[in-house]
Amino acid sequence: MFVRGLKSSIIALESNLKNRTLFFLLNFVLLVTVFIEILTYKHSIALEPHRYQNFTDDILIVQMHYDSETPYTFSSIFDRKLASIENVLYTQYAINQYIYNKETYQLSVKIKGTSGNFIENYDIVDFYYKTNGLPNVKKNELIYGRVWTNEEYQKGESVGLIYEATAKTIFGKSDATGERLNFGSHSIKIIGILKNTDDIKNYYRTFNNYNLEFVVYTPITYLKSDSLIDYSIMRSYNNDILKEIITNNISEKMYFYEREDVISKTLDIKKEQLSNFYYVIVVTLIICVVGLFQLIKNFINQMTFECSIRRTFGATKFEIFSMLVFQNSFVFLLALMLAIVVSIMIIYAYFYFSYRYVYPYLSYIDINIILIIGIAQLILTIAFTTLLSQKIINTNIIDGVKGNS
Amino acid sequence: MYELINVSKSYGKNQIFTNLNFTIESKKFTGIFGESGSGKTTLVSILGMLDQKYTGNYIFNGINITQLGDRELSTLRKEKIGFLFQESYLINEITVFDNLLLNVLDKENKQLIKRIRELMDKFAISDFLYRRVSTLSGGEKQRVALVRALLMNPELIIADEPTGNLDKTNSEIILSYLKSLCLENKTVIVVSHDEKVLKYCDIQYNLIKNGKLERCL
Repeated sequence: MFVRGLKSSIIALESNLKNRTLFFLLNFVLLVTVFIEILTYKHSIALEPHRYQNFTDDILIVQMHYDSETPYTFSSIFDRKLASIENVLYTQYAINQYIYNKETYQLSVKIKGTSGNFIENYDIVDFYYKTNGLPNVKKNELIYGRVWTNEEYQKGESVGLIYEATAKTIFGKSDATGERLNFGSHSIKIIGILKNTDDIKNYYRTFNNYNLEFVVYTPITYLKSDSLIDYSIMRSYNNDILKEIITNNISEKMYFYEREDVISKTLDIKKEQLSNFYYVIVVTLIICVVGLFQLIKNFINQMTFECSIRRTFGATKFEIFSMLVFQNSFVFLLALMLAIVVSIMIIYAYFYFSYRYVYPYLSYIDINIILIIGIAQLILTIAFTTLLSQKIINTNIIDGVKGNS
Repeated sequence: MYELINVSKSYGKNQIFTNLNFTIESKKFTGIFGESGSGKTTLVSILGMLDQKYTGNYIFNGINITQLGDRELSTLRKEKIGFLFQESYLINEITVFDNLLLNVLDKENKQLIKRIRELMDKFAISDFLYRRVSTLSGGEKQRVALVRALLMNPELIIADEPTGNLDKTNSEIILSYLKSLCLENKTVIVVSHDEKVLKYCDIQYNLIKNGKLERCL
């Protein structure tokens, strides 16, 4: 039965091949146009951040002592001397009080400009807890890789641990061990991945009022040579000395670094340009829908004779209706499938030749949008066919046969 | 027997038939003649169940078809009536075989194919079975159309100007065959203004301008 029905449908398709071919081609062109526009738009926005690779907004580096007993240290910013957390907090508080007369100012390092692999800005905090070498902040749990060894710690190797969410965001996979995280002048090899914990952000926010997206744990020894502030800061709480040091060192090196946010600016411009393109897509979609309506209308009008012949020889109204819906849907689906394949090929070729640097990231792009549009158009095709086929179904049969309808 | 009882039909303000009463006898060759615009085609539409927009009753071998739905009417048309028109009304882009299958939609089976071959042999067109209709001559097309009309072995054959586009030889072939169908217990109605049809008629009606039928034979 099914084979017979299929064969009958194929004969039905063949009987008006020219019109159906035209219907197919016009649908195909319309769909390809829409898909290419939409994919270009969507890909351009989604891929733009990948220009900069390993893109992320903020990062907090937590340096870990390997074997210290006393919890604290705050030395990459201030010095390498041990101090209590209270002291650290006090120092920060004091600096803020002294310079800005406000308690909430964030002591942070901002990287100026960008380099190839970069993180837009980062803050460095030096922590210490000892629990089998793992950063013991809110019960961290290692899910991939390892923590640094004593030897790595002693040598101050550029190795680090990140959270799984960070790995996914930056590297697109959970197990990012072996990857290198590059930012500023730093290049840290990821040796371990920590299980995500919701508390971590709150922890840092509470502790130091940080509001950062990502955290990298490194041995405290790694940034030893990168100390930005003189040792003497922690040695004395004399405000005059502090003022002098801050004025001479910190202020220029840290606080008054102006961040040249090239990336945000570029993204904003790009988004603005693409938002104009969005209107073009909307117009194209409208044209596509109107075009589809006209196509179906013409197609059905040209089917009047054939349908009337079929009616004359015994086809019911429902059979005619089913045939029209089947034919239009079938031809549309063929056009849709080809359009999807061709559109994706064109898009990939376009990005390959025009934006080669983002080409490896194309696989990240969600192309479900074309399926959604395709299904929507298919539903419209069926709806329009249902609507427009009423005329052909209810026409006087003999007029249809003789071409008088 | 096929009977129209008080049938009235109009197109807008144009009244074609008013209370038409008309009986077609079974197994006879009935000719209905009339000038252009006299309502011949409308009568064909009603008799062939192609038009349901009229008042009155049409009794088709005891069945009042005015009370039937689209599905039943379609089934009756498919199984009981064969149509032959002035033009073949075949679809040129497909083969003769596929055109014949359109007649029966998805009911292709061995018996049907056997009947197609028999009829094609009978009209000496069996070589054309898998040829595209567009390659056939007018006479060949009309013979294919006749095969299509007879495919389901209908009891009633309605022919609307079947010889209108044919030469004398082809006309004779078609009409002779239609006449012979009456011997096979089939009823043939030929609507025409062609005098060549006259000599084949068992019963003859004239359709005059005001939508009335006059029996002449």
